[in-house]
Amino acid sequence: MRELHELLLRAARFEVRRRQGAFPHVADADADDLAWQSADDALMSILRRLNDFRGDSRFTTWACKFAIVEAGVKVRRHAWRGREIPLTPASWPVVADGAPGPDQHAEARDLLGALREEVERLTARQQEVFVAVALNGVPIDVLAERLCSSRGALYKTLHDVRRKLRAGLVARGLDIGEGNCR
Amino acid sequence: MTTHMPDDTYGIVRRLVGPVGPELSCDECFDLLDVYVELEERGGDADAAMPAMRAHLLGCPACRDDHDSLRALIELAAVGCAYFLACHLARQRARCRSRPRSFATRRLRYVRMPG
Repeated sequence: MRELHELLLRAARFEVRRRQGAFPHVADADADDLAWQSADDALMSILRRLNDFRGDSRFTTWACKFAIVEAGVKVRRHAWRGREIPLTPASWPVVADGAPGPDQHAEARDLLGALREEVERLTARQQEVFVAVALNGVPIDVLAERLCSSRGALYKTLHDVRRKLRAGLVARGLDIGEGNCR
Repeated sequence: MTTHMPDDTYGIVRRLVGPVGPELSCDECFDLLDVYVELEERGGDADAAMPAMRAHLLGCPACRDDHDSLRALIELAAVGCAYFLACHLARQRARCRSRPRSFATRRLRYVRMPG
């Protein structure tokens, strides 16, 4: 059990250090505390779900997954503590002036305008989730905590919203293709 | 407000409306993450084996972060193991070189048939 906890602590520290790059204001002392909490919580989750391990991967990979996810959630929540969540589309993308051609500029503006109209047709809750997560880049775990929900439930909402928006654009004759962008 | 060139618009809209096709949920993604990452590590075609997983990772930044971290961790562990093994073998070879019998001869002792 002690060895398992050590493994989880190493994985959690690894994840916290990685996330510190994105959230540099997380202090080192807090970071180690978060890693310990993550390792403890991961160990509890593993003990609860030990029967789920089917040997499809190495046990260490399976176990480290719990520590990585716990640590990631904790760092994101810690970094966003006390910060207001932007639920309004303040950062709506705008086509830059000085576009190469007026046709391209108009086409891009129309596409964004159509998307914005489709977003405005969503319910208030759907708009909140879409604007916060997709548009403003709020971590889904942070939003889930603020809205007393879960990552899975919010992602389901986001998934439904995206399907609706895509269908709305297609209905307007705007085909944005199937390529996936990270 | 973010400003961008018209050429980028389709990419931005595609990112906002997310991936197309069947997608796993976050819970399903968590359940399969270790298997998917090990498949990637072994050089297998993880995306072909689990297309719904790739779609989810493209659409869900939190799960994508978890995936990237787990993959980086096991790659680091693999590199660490390989480095440890290489150092161990180098030390063993160095010890053997200082003795009259070569490392290779010493190893052969264990595979030679009796008689």
